[in-house]
Amino acid sequence: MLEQLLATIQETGGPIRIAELSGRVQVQRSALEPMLDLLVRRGLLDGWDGNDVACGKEACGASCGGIQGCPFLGRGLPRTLEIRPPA
Amino acid sequence: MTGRLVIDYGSDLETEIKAIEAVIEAQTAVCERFPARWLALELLEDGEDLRVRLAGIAGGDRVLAAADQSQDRLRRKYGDTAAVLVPNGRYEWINTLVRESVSQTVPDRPPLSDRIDKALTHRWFGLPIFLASMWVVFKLTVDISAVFLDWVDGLMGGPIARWMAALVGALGLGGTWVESLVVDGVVAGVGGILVFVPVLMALYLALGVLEDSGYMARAAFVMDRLMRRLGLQGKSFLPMLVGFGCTVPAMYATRTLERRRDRVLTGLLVPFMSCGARLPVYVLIAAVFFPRSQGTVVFAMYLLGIIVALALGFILNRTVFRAEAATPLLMELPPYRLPTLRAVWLQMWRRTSAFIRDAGTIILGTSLVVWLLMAIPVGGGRFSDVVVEESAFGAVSSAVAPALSPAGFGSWEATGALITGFVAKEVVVSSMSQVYGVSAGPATAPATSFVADLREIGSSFLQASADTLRAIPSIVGIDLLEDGDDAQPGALLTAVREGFNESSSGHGSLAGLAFMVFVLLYTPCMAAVAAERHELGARWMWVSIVGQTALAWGMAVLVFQVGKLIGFG
Repeated sequence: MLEQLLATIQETGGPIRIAELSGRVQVQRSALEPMLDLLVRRGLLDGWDGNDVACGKEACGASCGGIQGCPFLGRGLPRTLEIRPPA
Repeated sequence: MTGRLVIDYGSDLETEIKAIEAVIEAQTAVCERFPARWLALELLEDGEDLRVRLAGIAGGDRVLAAADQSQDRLRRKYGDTAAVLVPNGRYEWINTLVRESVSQTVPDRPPLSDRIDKALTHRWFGLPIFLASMWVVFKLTVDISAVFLDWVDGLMGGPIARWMAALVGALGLGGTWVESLVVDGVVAGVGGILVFVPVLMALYLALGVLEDSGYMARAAFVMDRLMRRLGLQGKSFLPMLVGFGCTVPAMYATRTLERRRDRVLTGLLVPFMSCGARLPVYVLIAAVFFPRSQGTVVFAMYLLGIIVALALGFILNRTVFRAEAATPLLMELPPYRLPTLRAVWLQMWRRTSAFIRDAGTIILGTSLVVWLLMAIPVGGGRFSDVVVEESAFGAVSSAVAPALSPAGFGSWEATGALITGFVAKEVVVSSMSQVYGVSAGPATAPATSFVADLREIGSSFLQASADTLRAIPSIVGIDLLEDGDDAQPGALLTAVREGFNESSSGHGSLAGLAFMVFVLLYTPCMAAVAAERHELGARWMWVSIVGQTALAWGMAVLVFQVGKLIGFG
């Protein structure tokens, strides 16, 4: 199941939406998301979101209002997952 | 229901489970505490806590050694995915159970967001839809804010300048260098950039709507596909997207990229994304030379930045940086929402106030330095009583100006503004406001009373609000503003037009276009350079500074010379 997920992501060759992946592997989205979280925890997927991308301390400083108040379009960035490249 | 639930994990995993079980069962102390199969499965899943506990139990080390050997064997056979073999077995079992016990009679109707996404993130239509929506954003931003821009301009150049001069006069400093400092330094410099606050507010409002509706996340999705086609890492677009807000956090955002080559490549491309600070320059020049298509010209500048970044990335990826296969991205796109007025307004206010804070610090500081340089005579004369061209500012600018002549804007005024732009891009406009304002001489507005000024401000504000509402249909080509409503170009706009026409021998609009291209492509600001040094190192920072400036010069010259050849402008 998890191997199939990884293989499907790899086979797409381009970006894929989680909703689209859910359809391709025939797993409901509510069941798919814990599977993806598990793959992130086990180091097979890398995951990041607006917080990781836009909230560098050096850039925003201590007075930064967090991602919800990000003045640099960080709020609009989607949560993104990527198959971790081999070490 | 009785009996133990035993999941079959497949032959390879079952063999290893049994091997570990055999060792566990031989260790009485371990066996007494843990069920053998459960322990074997936990150890294969890397149960850290259990490992610590087992280490303190007699025979535990043998069990751990057996588990390690099993993991090694599985890793050799399955590679990285060995880490998920156990949960994979459970999911397979659940999946089989669900398939056997649940029969779906009515197919799921995809949620509305997914149906909209089929169109908006479509393989072929996604990018044109994204570009069209960005064009609408810039058209709305510039067209709708134009009326208020004129209003603030009138406010700064009229009542505010008069009040400040009157205040200085009341302090007994009228006619001294202090009056020049306040009027030509602070009001012209900081006021010159504050004029553009309505444009920024309109842009931030539009971007807030896109963010809040969930569409901005789709932009990243659509651009990832394009970048992948060009052989670039789609993930690089996320820092680049942040670069539309500000280059500094975008530069720091490159650290989310795993490989150094990706970080350096993205760091070199990020400055080409038009940050908010460049917008006032585009709006000013577009208002001077392209008043009827300001929005389209501003949009074209943003688009050109993306095209240059992608083209450069494509070239660097095949020359300096070794190309590696891009891995596919999986994106969780948030559901579409109707933006709330409160959230969008708050977002716009945060961004605008950050810009105004900048105006009160870095722009004020630079305006004062520019004023000081314009007040220092280099060829005779008294402090603060010197023709600007003969000041320190004029002398340095005049020395550099010939290098920009091939691009059509080799005047000392434009060159001086570009030099100050190395500090921050907003400063280009404030410097232009100072140098062109001073060159054009003081405004000769008739003196009015304070109360009359307030009355005038109030009535012009109401008129500007009404005109803004009437300007909205212009986005679909319906012009409700009468010809007489078009504001007359202000003194700054007229001075800029004359200056560019003179330096380009009558090809002012072409020189203006080349100027915008230069501003788009040369080094963004000192803070971005510092971030570049921090993230990429001194060598790449210099490569970036020299490369961007050379590219900016080359592109500006190309635009001006080719434009002249084909008879444009």
